[in-house]
Amino acid sequence: MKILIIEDEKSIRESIATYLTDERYLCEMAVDYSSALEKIEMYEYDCILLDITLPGGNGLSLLNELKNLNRLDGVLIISARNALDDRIEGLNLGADDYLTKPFHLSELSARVAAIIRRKQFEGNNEIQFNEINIDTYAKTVSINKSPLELTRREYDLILFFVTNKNRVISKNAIAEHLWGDEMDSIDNFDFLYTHIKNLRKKLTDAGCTDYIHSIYGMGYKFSN
Amino acid sequence: MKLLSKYNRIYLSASIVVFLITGIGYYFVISFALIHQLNHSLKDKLTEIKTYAQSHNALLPITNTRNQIIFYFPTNNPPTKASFSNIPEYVKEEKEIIQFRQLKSIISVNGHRYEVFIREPETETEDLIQLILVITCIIAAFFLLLLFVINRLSFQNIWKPFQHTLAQIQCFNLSTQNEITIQPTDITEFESLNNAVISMSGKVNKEYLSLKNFTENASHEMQTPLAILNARLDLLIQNENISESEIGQLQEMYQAVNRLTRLNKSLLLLTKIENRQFSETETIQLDQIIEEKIVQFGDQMKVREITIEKEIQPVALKMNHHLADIVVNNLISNAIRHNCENGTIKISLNNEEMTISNTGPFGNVDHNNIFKRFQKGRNSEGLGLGLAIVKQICDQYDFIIRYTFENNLHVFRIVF
Repeated sequence: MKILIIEDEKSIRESIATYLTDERYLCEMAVDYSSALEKIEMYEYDCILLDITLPGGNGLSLLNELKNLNRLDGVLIISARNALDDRIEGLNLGADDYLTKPFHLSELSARVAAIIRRKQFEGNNEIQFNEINIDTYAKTVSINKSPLELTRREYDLILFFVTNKNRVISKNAIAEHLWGDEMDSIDNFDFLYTHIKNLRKKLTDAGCTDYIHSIYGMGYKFSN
Repeated sequence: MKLLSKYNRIYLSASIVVFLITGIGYYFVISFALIHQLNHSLKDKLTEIKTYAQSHNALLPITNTRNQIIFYFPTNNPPTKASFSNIPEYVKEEKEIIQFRQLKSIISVNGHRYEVFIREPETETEDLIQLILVITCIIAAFFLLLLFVINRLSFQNIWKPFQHTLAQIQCFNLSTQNEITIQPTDITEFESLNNAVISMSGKVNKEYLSLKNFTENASHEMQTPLAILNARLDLLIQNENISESEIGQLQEMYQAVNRLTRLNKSLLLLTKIENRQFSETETIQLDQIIEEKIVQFGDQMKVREITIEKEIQPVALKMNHHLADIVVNNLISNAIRHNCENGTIKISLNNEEMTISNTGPFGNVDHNNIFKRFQKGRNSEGLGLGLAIVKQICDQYDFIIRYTFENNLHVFRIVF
């Protein structure tokens, strides 16, 4: 899977690249408008991470370029401005998703995975992790081919875990993923523990190995 | 006191004083002139008597009329200068005492001396003076009335540019950034007032805009370093060799970054609301928004075992959907945060008002400052901006929001 990271801030660019490379993505980087345009014109990517404010031009016009080239690359806008207008304009110009800075890398990774899944041909909307099968189209989960009844939050949780498998995910990242901006304060993680406890119980009851490892005080890791 | 009444009072009293003084002066001048004329006529008569005495060696025969009385008395006194005096005398025909002007002199006829008295009544003089006084008064009164009316009429016209400017200043509102327009005027004072007002409002608007932009830009600029911190932390925790104490520190850093992020977002939101960047309105179903929020906060309420009681009627309001969402969100989140275990939240909604009340410890809630920025309870983990944002939104839509503590409940009431 090839990913292009268009971001002028070095530290963010490299952090994203490091995180995504570990997830076996092939990452390329562009630091400004012209180098981004050059790369877009030469290669096709599965997903392009696009910062709107770029040296030498507006990231939104790169979306126009992609449109003109009749390209189907997935685009995830990452922007410091969470202006509603920018978001709507970006999505209208063909971007697939919009993420406001600051974000968690696990969240970014989940969004990238979702975009790539959606861009792929039909039938490929299933994710397999050992005995766990997730159908992202029907939003169902089955263990060893027997369906598992999950609430919406539990489904979101297991999908988030599986797309970030083998990574330590902080409690903050999980809470923000599940409850998003709506939650004014996520200082209290009690309700998160409840959901994880319930999910873990449902998985083990269905005969699934307990892949959710809690990292003391920090978060969770979904791994063998 | 209105400027017009103040002005009227001053110029009316001044005019009255002036008219009084001129009236009195006028009186004296005219009476002096009339007396002078009487004296003259008396002197003429005396000369006639003297001339007659010289040529005829006899006294002029007396032909007394209503307007002139002459009488002679033989005397031994030596001749003296003619002298004038005022004599009051009862007149039978008029049945009243009348002032007479009298000329007294001593003449010699055929070696005999006679005192001559010539009298003329002053009634005519007095009548004349009275008439003149009345006319003067009438003119004065007419003049004052005319001035009053002219002032009243011209005043409104003259002060029109001022009133216009004043109205503009009263409507001046920083957040709507309305420009002050002025009416052209040829009055120098008003023109300089207008110029001063325009330059002042321009300056204020500019300062406000730059401050506004500063807040917005500062918030945006902060997003990038926050993103770096977040991303670096996300990478750092992947390290398998972190000790437990380091994990604790990392978690605290996460919390700090998270807090800063939320603070930043809230400040940005406040600025945007202040700048009226959420101006587009639509008809929203407030009851639906509340129901959605109750579902969203379900997890938080379940953990703290908070029960919810609601009396919600369908209510449609014209407002921005995002802002309506924020109001409900912040109030419910506030009601959860400041609640106690096994507490209750009551939500009621009808066409007049929405109230969200919650159980919770009765602390020293500062009623006056509760909606101010960065005002929060001692144990609150919130940012102290949630209620300020709610207040700001209510202000934008002219809703009244009030906090009360009644029946052991903290009540937030919004009257639409």
